Amino acid sequence: MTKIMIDPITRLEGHGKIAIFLDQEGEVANAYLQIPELRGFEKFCEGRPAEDMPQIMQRICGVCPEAHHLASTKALDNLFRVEPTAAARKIRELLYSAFFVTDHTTHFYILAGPDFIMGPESPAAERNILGVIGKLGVELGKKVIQTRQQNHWVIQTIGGRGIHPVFGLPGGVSKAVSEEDRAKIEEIAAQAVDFGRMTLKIFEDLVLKNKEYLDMVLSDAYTHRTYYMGLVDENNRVNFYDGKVRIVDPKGKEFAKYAPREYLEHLTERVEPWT
Amino acid sequence: MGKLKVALYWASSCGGCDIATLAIGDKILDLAAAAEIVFWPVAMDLKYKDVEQMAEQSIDACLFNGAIRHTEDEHVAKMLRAKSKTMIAYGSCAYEGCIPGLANLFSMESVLERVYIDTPSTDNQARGYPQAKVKVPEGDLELPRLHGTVRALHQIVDVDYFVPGCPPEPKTTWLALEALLTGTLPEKGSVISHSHKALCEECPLPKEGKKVKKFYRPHQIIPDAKKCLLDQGLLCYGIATRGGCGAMCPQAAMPCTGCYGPVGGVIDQGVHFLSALGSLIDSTDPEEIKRIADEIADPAGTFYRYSLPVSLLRRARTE
Amino acid sequence: MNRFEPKIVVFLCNWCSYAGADLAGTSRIQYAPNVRVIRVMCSGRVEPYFILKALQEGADGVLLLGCHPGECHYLEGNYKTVGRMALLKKMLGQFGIEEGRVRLDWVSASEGVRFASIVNEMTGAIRALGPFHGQRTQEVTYG
Repeated sequence: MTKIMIDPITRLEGHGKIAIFLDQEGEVANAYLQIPELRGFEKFCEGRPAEDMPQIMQRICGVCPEAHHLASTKALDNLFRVEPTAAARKIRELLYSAFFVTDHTTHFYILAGPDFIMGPESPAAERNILGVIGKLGVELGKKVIQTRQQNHWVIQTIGGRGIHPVFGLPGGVSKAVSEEDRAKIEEIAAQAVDFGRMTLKIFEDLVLKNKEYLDMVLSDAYTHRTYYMGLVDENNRVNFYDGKVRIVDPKGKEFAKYAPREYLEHLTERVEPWT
Repeated sequence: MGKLKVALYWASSCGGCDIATLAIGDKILDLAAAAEIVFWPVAMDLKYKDVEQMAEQSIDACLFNGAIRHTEDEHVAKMLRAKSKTMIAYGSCAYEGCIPGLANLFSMESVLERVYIDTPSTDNQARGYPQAKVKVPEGDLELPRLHGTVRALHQIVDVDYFVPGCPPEPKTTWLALEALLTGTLPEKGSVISHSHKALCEECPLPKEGKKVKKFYRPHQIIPDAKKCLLDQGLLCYGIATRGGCGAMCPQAAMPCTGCYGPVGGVIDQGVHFLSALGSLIDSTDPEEIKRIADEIADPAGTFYRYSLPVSLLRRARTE
Repeated sequence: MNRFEPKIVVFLCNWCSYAGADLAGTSRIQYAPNVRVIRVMCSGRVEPYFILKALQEGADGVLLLGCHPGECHYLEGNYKTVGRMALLKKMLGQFGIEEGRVRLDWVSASEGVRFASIVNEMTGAIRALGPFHGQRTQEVTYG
């Protein structure tokens, strides 16, 4: 069989390569996603003080360190058997909210967005943020940069640093939010909501209203039938900071819902020799 | 004169240094105007085979982040070194090994066993590990081979400049990029930062002269956020860490953890922090001194959190 | 006979332990020839960095001898040494380096016999532990 390698895969966080095997007729016989990275966090955290986990574990990912930082902080709450104060809960959730603005902006405009905005026929050299700015204009580019900068400022103000925050402690956070900062954060949040709406409109105009794109995006080649998992509140609405883990099947029907500490009853990992 | 050709690559890293490059904000547009980015996996669709086609020294500068953990990291580092005029170790992983370097406290065998067999959520009855060469029904697949010891970039290729930080703060990043774009890089081998002195110089918390009767872990006390954290017994690494970051962490009432690496001229950051802490203990009773010292729960992990691969010992003995 | 002969670096402070070592010499007290002496003004001068460097550069063991607590010529130097060595030994344990390879002890100017006895003990202990092998590198694994 012929093997096509895509190496490395690009415009996402992490390392990967894809091996595609074609049979005699040129049809895809199988494809393998290989992740050629291993750092061993599961092992080298052993012997470290527990309260170091928020800062160590967030180095699993520098695009979403806030997620790992807060997950570790919540684990510390559990370990030390303390409930975070109401203010600490809110501060943590506020940091997470600013984080997902930066993260989704990065994803939409820099990572995955170029596929939609530039289109699959565009040359590789244009399928990136520079191509996006070229197509949508420098003003939009500046808005993207500004949104990310503002919300990284929020993360830094609440969490200590804009990337790899330091504020998580068992039962709370290391510093309070001043009224002055709170007022600024509120403004930034309002702007983030506007930016989100604007982004949805761009998606609607460039992708949903473009029949060719829409047909492609809805076609089998772009359809991935999978289960989905996320944190939800009691009304099954997304809450990124805390709640229950809810898993739905490809059709959206609930498959499982559990408290995070029950994860071992619902999840296992398996090992493949080629990744 | 054409644009500068710049490559950015990540070895065993978390991606934080790539996000840090974006954290320079609007200046990214200045960078895009002055430089042609010829390779940047997180943001661009160029592949290894595109880099393989490039001529020797055809890349003006490569910003390389990530530690060297396996044969692919090593191969790409050597390839980019050959094709680049200037090689910059960007961020703590490339400069000193950083967090992935903590794996050097364990044997590779114990890491593999934990990751692929022993973790509570793993179901691996066959006790198999990923393999560098695998035969699947359709053909052959390959993976890089893991090194027994994590290394920093300069331990495998010649490095021209180092940019410290996990990740570097935007002002440190821009200090390096601006120097690159204006042709004003300092002496080869330099660490690029606004400061080469200890962080204490720029930390705004007032210091009272250090004498510690007890060391505390961050959750054990609520420190006075307007006073030096080390004076209060928190293990603030600022005394043995290069400045230039703006002392962000102490201003969030959390002790510095040392991510900007050693102060200028120091070779082994961890043992110097150890020495400083040992000498701050406020007692003249040897037994009491030992008891206070013992309050530091994890010397190896605390002192060498970011710099284990480039320390004198480099790794734990694991036979 | 190819018996392993340890190389032991010993730091001696000018005012107490070095004088004690001198006394062992002038008193013709026999002691193992495995030590290489480095004289410093105070045990508090010894950076743990020197100890690690000695091990990496070929020493099999490092001995640090200072004034008895309370007798330091500079009053507090040896207290700093206690703190540093406590941390260093704990850390070396985490690195899998055997407890006996680094030792801190006190020898006064009049203790020639004690100096010789500590040196002999240390030499025997390191001989039993074997060579340290600084600068070991790890080969590529699994594939």
